[in-house]
Amino acid sequence: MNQSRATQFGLPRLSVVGVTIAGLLALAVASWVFVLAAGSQQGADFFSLDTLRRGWHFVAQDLLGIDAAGTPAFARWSAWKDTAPLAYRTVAMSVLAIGIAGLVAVATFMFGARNVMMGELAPYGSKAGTLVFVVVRGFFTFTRAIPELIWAMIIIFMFAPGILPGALALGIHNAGVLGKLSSEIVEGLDRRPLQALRSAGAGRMQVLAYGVLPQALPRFLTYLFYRWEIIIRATIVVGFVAAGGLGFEFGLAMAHLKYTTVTLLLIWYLLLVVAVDVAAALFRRLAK
Amino acid sequence: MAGLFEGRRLLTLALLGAFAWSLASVSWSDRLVHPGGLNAVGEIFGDLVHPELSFGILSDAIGAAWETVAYAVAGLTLALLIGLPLGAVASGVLARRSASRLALVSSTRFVLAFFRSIHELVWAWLFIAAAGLSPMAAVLALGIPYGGILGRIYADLLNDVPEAPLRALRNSGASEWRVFWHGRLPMALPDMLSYSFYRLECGIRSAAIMSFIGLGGLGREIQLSLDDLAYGRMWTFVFFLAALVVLVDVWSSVVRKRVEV
Amino acid sequence: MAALAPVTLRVRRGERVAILGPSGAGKTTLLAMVAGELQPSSGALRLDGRDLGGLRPGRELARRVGLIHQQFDLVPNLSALHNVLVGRIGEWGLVRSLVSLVWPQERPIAMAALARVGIAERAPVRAGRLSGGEQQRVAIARLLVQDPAIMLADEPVASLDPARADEIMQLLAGIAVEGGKTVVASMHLVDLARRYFTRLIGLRNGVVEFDLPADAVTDAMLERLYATHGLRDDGGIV
Repeated sequence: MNQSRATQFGLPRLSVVGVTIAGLLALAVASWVFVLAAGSQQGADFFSLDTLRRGWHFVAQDLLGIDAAGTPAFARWSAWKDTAPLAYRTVAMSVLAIGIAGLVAVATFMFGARNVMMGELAPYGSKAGTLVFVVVRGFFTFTRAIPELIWAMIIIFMFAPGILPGALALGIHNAGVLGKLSSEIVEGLDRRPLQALRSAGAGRMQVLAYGVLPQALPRFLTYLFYRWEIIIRATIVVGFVAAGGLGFEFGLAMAHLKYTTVTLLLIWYLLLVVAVDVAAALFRRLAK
Repeated sequence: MAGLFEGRRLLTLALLGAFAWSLASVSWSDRLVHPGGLNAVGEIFGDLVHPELSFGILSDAIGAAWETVAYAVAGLTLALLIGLPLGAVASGVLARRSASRLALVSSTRFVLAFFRSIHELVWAWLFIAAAGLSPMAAVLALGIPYGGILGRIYADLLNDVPEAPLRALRNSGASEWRVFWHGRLPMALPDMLSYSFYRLECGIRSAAIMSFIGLGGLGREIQLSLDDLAYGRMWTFVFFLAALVVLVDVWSSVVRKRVEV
Repeated sequence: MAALAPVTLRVRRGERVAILGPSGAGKTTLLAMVAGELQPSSGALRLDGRDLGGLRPGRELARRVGLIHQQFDLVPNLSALHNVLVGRIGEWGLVRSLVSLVWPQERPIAMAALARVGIAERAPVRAGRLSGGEQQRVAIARLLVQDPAIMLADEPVASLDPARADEIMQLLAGIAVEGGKTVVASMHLVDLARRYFTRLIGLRNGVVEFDLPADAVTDAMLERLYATHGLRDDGGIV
């Protein structure tokens, strides 16, 4: 028997990568079996010519308005003019959301970094530091694990519909994402300049201000703009429930089967996504 | 002379200005907060420490969690089928002649950008409007935008591979195709794997919200509990969702430590 | 595991001591202990008869001992000026050092130090954008501003080309002579050590092989110190 493959218990050693690959394959097979079985239970066969025909009909007649009575919404100037303020408010929602997320993350990410709270940057091994670390990381995990749409469903209990509840929902979820990412930046910082600061007589707070913050901030900004790109895409779904911007209008148009308006709103979305991607790339370069 | 972050002061001002503008576009009034809204949210978070843990709820939660995972994993396999080939093409490392290469790369990149610029929930809604309610709609809706994201990231990773080892392969007479299989892909694979794992975590969240347009899973249970004002029950399902996300996160960081040098 | 055998070294004020020896000899360990980064497993460090061992990194230690490394001493995202002013933050206290990040405090002191090391015009440039030689100049300027009694240098020129290395050592030695400072440095370039230091200590496997005035060290001693290694033409050790 190959000795390197056997542990002291005589069992074959399971490599993490091997287990992962096997586990993922098994999971994929089981998932597809489940999905296909659940699909056939519902009666209508998804894999059929009929589906294809209905799909084609939906795209050509409903979305694109070919052969339909009246001018499709996306070809009417007035429809564009009516929806422009919604696009404006959608951008405002995304900026508000990234602002909230950024502020919360900036205020907390230091406390979520292992090396600051209980590692080499903390001069005294303190129980309080460990406690704060666990609480802050727990907060990041909790806010990050709940999708923005579910946050919106909760927040709408409190606020009148508008861009604020939508932005809050997006902001809370992304605060967790950004907080975790930036804590990990701090944990991965080059420690040599920090040590040099210590030997030049800097106290703990001064090391954070002179060594940690200046090194972490540019990368934090990079992540911030990257999240902005993601947030603008997600404004549409929080809009469904928080009733702000293009998202809410999209929900209405779907509900009232006004599909050419749906197309119009989707075009707006493509434009916004492209514009934000370009702006975010520009800001990222500025932040470097 | 400028102080901290010299040229970045301008950027800082611009960011603060943008945030102020966004704050100003909220219609602030005393009707912004619902009467009793604070109480409702207080109740919701008060129940955070009293999740419902009865046998019935827990078995519902396990079933819903499995459904969510199944959509996420099936969607992600589809995303891999889309992202891997399109990403390889979009990286432009396979084509040789520059004219065809440019056309191929830019058109593939455009398709990938289109796929990912529409949110997965919107894709799902459109599929259901077109073809009726079916779990396949959720899988397609996840697979398409995630395929777009994976394809773009794969393309970048394949492009960023260091050139020197590839040149050595080429000098030994390997074709571009062989350079891809024996050089580029193996070198980019660890990063590709760890990014895909991260997308699986996102996929679980996305699959959970597919309930919004009528499909089952954890999101549906959360929504139903909210409708019943059964907040304790809602938190049970939320904790299951959080546990799934953390599980994938931990799994992926363990794998990442093994595959990254 | 002990990196150093029991060693007793007495360094007088104003001496410039170079520690030589093959890699793994214990040079870095010795310096790290003097700098307060490492605690000796036994024994003590005294400065003017006062025990240094009890001092945590901070103002008290910074006044007595300053340190520069081979590289990565500076915060790459801060300007050269701010990196030099880091030499003052031990004295400033928290509030003033925070204010200084936006409105640099005591600029004249820092500018004088940068002028002394010859790169006053580079003050607003971020440290990460400076060349290796310029970065070492900034590190020396910071040491000037910090003004410790003892300057420690761990391979201060190891990452520089020979011409640049000579300039930096000349600068360091010049500053030490002007201020009556004590210098203790680990060196791998024997020629530079002989030119700019008053006393050479040979360290091998944690044991002191020789401890002599610079002009008393012979080529034969050096060859023995580096026995399993070859001596390069330029005096560097392969």
